[in-house]
Amino acid sequence: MSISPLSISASSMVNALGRGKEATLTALQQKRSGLQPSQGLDFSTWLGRVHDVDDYALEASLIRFRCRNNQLAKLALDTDNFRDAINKAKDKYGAHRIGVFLGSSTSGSEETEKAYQNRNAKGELPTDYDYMHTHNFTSLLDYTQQSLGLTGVGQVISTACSSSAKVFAAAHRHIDAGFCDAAIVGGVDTLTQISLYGFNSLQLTSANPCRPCDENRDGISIGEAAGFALLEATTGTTSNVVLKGYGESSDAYHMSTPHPEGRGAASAMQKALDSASIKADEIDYVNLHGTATPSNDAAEGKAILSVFGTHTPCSSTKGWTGHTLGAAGITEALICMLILENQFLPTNLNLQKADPSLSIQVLSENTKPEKMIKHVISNSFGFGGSNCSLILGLQ
Amino acid sequence: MSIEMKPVYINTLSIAAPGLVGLEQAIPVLTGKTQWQTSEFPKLVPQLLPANERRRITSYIKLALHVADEANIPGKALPAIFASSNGDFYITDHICNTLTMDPKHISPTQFHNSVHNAPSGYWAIAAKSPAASTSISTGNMTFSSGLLEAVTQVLCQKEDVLFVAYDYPATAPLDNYSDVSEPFATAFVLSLNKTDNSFANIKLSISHDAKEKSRCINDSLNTLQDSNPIAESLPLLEALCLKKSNTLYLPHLNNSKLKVEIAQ
Repeated sequence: MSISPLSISASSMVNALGRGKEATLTALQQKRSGLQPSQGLDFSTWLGRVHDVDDYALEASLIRFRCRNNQLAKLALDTDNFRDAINKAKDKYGAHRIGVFLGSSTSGSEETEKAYQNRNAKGELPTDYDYMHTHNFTSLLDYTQQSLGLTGVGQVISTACSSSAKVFAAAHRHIDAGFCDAAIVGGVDTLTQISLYGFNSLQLTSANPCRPCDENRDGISIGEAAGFALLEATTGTTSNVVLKGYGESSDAYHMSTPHPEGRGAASAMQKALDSASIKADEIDYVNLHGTATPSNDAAEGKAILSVFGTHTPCSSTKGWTGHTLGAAGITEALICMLILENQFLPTNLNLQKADPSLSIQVLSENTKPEKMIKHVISNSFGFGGSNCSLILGLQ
Repeated sequence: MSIEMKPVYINTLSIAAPGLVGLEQAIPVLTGKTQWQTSEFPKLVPQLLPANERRRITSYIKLALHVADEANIPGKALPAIFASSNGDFYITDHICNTLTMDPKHISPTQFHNSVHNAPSGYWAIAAKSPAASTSISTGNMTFSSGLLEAVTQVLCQKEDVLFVAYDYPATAPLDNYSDVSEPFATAFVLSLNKTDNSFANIKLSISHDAKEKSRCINDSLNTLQDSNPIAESLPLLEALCLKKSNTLYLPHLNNSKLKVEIAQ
């Protein structure tokens, strides 16, 4: 089923590479990773941490939303002139006609972790602990809507690592069905003890910077990030990058392991192609989910082989940012936008020897393409077998 | 670019709450023939998962799977919308406790069950459904936002969907932090097509003018309506079981209401 494209007319991003799209672009072009060795954990790993979040102040009127996740959200809202763009959109559409669709896997669950560390002798949580304004998923939506002065429809999607890819699909549907005229999509995820020790318990974290698609890959590096984008009808906007298609599917296989043949992943990519009304050979680049666990990359490789064959250039950008979990979808969609705007393909950072069993074309250098990059696909696959692929293109 | 706003039919319905476990028990109350009385909520045993998988899941996940299974059309792999305000308090409590004592010994099963889409993942496995599935929250407005997502999917994708909404109360010390004091779950199949079993059709819009949310006609249900964000569905469930046309206003984001026009 084909969909009408939507313009990505404003955006902002913050991740371990720095604050703003320019910082991410520069790090990609200079092949400079944001991963650093972890500190203060009971195991060794590398993390994509965003600096200067803990002291970043929320608005005085919204102080009850204070948690690292919402501080990171505000840092991104205050970046790349995003607020100015939203203010213009409010003038154009009205504050009640702009939807907000956000993904997160963590929300502010760090506040609950801290509250448990600080229980009193009776086992009660501290009096200043505010679950609904920090940990509950709606915290991120309520904070973002109130910070931007928006009063329209919205939702938080939490489907683990596909969360902030699926927001593009939900936003597109709400615009199409007439429940809003434009939509902000985004994702915010922060480093938490739950996710760090949780992935460690599943033996999925690497002790080294992650090496997606490498023969000797041995796990993920966890990161944190925030990103937002404004989606609106293509008429009258200046941006030339559009959301062209989306595809969603379920593996129906296992809670924390992908289907070994990449069945759900292939289905998500094929549905995205169908919705964009383009053929597989019109895709110029695949931004892999590419987490660097042995099973994830193997399954994704098989899925790509089945949909695209062996020739489409692919890379994972998780060697730069780490796996930003619930923010991975928006972060990598915006990296795809930078690729389209700047016409370069990023290498698969940290690749020492490409896994020959993957049979896909993994980029081993930053590449200036010979022909124009018109369409790129970004994959996001999560626990519970939740898959989403997005196609971005030049208008 | 807007698509046509057609009526969307609700073709199946399930419910699980204290005193309202299954339609047979619920219909006399939802049609006003008897008063609602609370009773101990039973331990649900979703039959669709094999016994070894059932042992790995919590009461919260069982609640979601139970209503999903009752509402699902057997043999269909429908796109699914899972809506829950809070996620699994039991798992949150257990993991946060472990973090204070021995963080390296978080249970891997509990960790993968801690994701908000754990019920959706187990459902896809149990129902062998490769269809798309989403898992959303908008806090105390989760029922209306989930219904809106379900209706947009039916309208845009022109296929039937399964909508599942559920929340399960916390135990101490998290029990006073949310508006969930009773378990409550409901599920429907929504469709563009009327069937012999259709309860009604609905049209949705956002109202920024309506002041008051709709209350239950059977006012013995009012305490239950206030016991769980998903129980804001009760006025709609009454209208569906009474098979009467009505217009309802469900609590929605930013003091707006989701206007639900119900027709036969």
